[in-house]
Amino acid sequence: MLKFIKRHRLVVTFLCVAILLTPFSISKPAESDRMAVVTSVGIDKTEQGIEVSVNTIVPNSGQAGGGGGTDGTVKTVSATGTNVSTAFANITLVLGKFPGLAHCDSIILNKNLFEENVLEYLDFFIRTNNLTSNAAIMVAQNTAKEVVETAASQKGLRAVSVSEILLLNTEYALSKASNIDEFYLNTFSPSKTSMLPLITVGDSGKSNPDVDGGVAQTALNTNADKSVQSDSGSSQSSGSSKSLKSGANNSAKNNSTSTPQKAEESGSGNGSPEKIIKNEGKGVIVKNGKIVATIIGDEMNGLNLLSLDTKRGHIQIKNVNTPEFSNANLTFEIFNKKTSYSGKFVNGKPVFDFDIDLVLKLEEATQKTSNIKALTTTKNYVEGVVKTKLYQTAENSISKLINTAKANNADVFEIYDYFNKFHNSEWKQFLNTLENKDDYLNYVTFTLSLKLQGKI
Amino acid sequence: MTKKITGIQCGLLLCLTTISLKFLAFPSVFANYAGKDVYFSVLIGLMLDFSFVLIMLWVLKQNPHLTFFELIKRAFGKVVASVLLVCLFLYFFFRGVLVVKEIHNYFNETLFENIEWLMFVIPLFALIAFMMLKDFRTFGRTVQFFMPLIALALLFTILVPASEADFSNILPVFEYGVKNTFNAVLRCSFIFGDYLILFVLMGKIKFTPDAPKKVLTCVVITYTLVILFYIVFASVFGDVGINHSLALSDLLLYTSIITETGTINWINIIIWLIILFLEVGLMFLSASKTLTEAFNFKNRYIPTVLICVLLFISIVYLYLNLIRAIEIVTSLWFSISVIAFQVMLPILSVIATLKLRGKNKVTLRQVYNQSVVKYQLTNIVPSNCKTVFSNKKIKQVKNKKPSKINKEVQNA
Repeated sequence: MLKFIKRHRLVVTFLCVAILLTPFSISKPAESDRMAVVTSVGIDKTEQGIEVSVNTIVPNSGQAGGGGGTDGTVKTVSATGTNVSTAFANITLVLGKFPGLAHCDSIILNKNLFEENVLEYLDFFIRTNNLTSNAAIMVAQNTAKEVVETAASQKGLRAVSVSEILLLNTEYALSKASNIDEFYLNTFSPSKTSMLPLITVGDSGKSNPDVDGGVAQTALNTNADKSVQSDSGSSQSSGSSKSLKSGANNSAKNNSTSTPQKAEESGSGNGSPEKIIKNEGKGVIVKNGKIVATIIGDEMNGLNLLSLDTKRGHIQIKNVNTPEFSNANLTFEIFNKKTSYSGKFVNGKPVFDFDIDLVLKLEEATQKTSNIKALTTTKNYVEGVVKTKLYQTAENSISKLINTAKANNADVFEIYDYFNKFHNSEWKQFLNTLENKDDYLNYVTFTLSLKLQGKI
Repeated sequence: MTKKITGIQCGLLLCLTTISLKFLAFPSVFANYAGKDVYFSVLIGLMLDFSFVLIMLWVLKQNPHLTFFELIKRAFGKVVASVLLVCLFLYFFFRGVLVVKEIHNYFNETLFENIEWLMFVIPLFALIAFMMLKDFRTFGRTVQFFMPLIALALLFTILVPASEADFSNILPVFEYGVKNTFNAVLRCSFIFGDYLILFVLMGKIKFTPDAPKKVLTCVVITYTLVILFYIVFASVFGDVGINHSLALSDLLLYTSIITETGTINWINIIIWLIILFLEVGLMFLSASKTLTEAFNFKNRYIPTVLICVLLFISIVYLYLNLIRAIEIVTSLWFSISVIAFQVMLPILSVIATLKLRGKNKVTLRQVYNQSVVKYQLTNIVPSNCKTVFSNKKIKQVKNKKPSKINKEVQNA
């Protein structure tokens, strides 16, 4: 017997381990029976306490080929508790399963959570081992529950991955990753300032007769939509579930998102209007866990120009009179952009210089009278009056942003971080000269070197 | 048949010991003391380690055929040698326990929502017991086989987050003072001292003239990668590094490339599992070998069973969790004791070497009396042996029946 065991040690060991562990595992239920896959979380503050809404994928055994989040297999569940932990515990009871956050890719926060300190509502997520993905944080214009429910009603990948809506944010808006790690890094940085995207829920303009159980029928907050023009169906993508067009220039266009629908023929007014999640390129500045300002329009344009990472954007000038254009509105696309910055001390005061090189291409010209010369494509339009107006527009949007930042003491440019890293001793001396050290931004001089060229 | 490991295998085993404990929980422990200057603390610790590696290589060169036990026994006596070996055993045992807890953490947070404790521990114990029955040559070969994968995993883990890291986050240097950096080195001294594996490998290395060069090359490359990892860790997480107790996984989550290369990320995770299992096996094998030498166990199952029982008591019965283990390891008195031990051992080895200079040649009597481990048989040549036998004794030896040693030599 011993000789047999000695000769077949590996086989015997394997058999022992298998025999020992089989009774434990054979009677266990499947993981999918115990765990619910949560794809997005929404947090609201209500009178009863903290309401947490989650989107969970409900596997549909009738479908071959799997794929979560397709054709209405995403369900929204909400529960209220005294804090986020107890709310999640209550969700466990409602769901009958443990919420698994391993695939949670977005956390949507109600704007009113930022009234005191939003970090107390995010503390659960930063401590839990459950959240293994670097979830994106978004701020809901209205309620987070509405966003989560709307996401559940979307078709395709958008129902599962709400953060897809921010896919091009780094190129068009905000230019910063807004995931939980980055948010904490910025919150605990010397500048204590971070930016988060603001998303809304609006009508797509189409009605959907076949409304899923999870779709919210709450009244739409029309204030959000009044500020922008509706442009329904403007960004349909052909056959792809990723249709996003977000632009920095919010004064003229509404950046609406829509997912392609299998039933394109929307019922003739029978169903309720279909809700969609909208990324209008807006953002909020968060300082010390509180929202201090909202960035829209010109300020967002300015932020795009100043950021190192954004590569796209538009600059629009109005009432241009040149030999080719008469009282025209010209929209230039930023074809290429190179931004750099540097800081120095002049007479003990910090000076922060932005150096921006832009290559612009005329994208659209709208005027009441037609002029065939305006159709020339081999002309560099970035000259003369046009160039002057472009300078003025760019400088105005940057100035607006700087003034907003200074008024709210919001260091969106990370001035403190820059000087603290690269001019540490001088910066500390400068801070010591101030009565209120938090007020440093008002003493920083910003200079701008802007070079514009046209692209043929 | 010789069972010695080559110089490169020795270097790789030293690399594996260096990697252990430094990539999972301890980056956040370092960050707790040193903040953004974690990489500086690691640099100081590894520089000290490197100096001791040089000392140990000199000792090994002087005593290529002696084990650590034999060296200390000849210089200071058997009792001192046994005590030091028991301390070495405790060192590697506790290190192995920490690695087991880190593996459990890794399984719990990266791979499973919640893994059943018994389901995890029983197969792992069986694996550890199996590894303890092997020898360093098996380990050396295994590590040599997996080294290209291990190197790729390390590079992937470092370079992928580095591509999106903002390296200016490590500035300004020593923002919270130099004192904190040294405090971090003091408190986390347990994860240094990787050269102590060389004491266990003494006498088991085929010490060719280029062996030190190979060992040093492996060491320099590994130390560079470890420091780079900590620089990337500090760049990516900055002051928030204290929150990331699973640095290895969290760093890879930070980058967006991972979402597009899901399969490669999983391959990386699997390779890290291999690394972790090899680490835990190496630690307990070292513990087993030191225990065998200290108490002269003839049967290799005895130290294996002893260690498994101790492991059971410390991990299962006492339920020593990772947080409690880290608290013990980073306590002031424990750290000072560990540093004293890490410094004392090389110094004692140097003193012993100097003391025995010219006296440490192996005698034929010791070879035939099996007082020198049989690994050294093939390296014994008449020129490096002292002749102590008189003619009478040689005749007596000739008349005797061939001993077991002779038979083995003949068979080899």
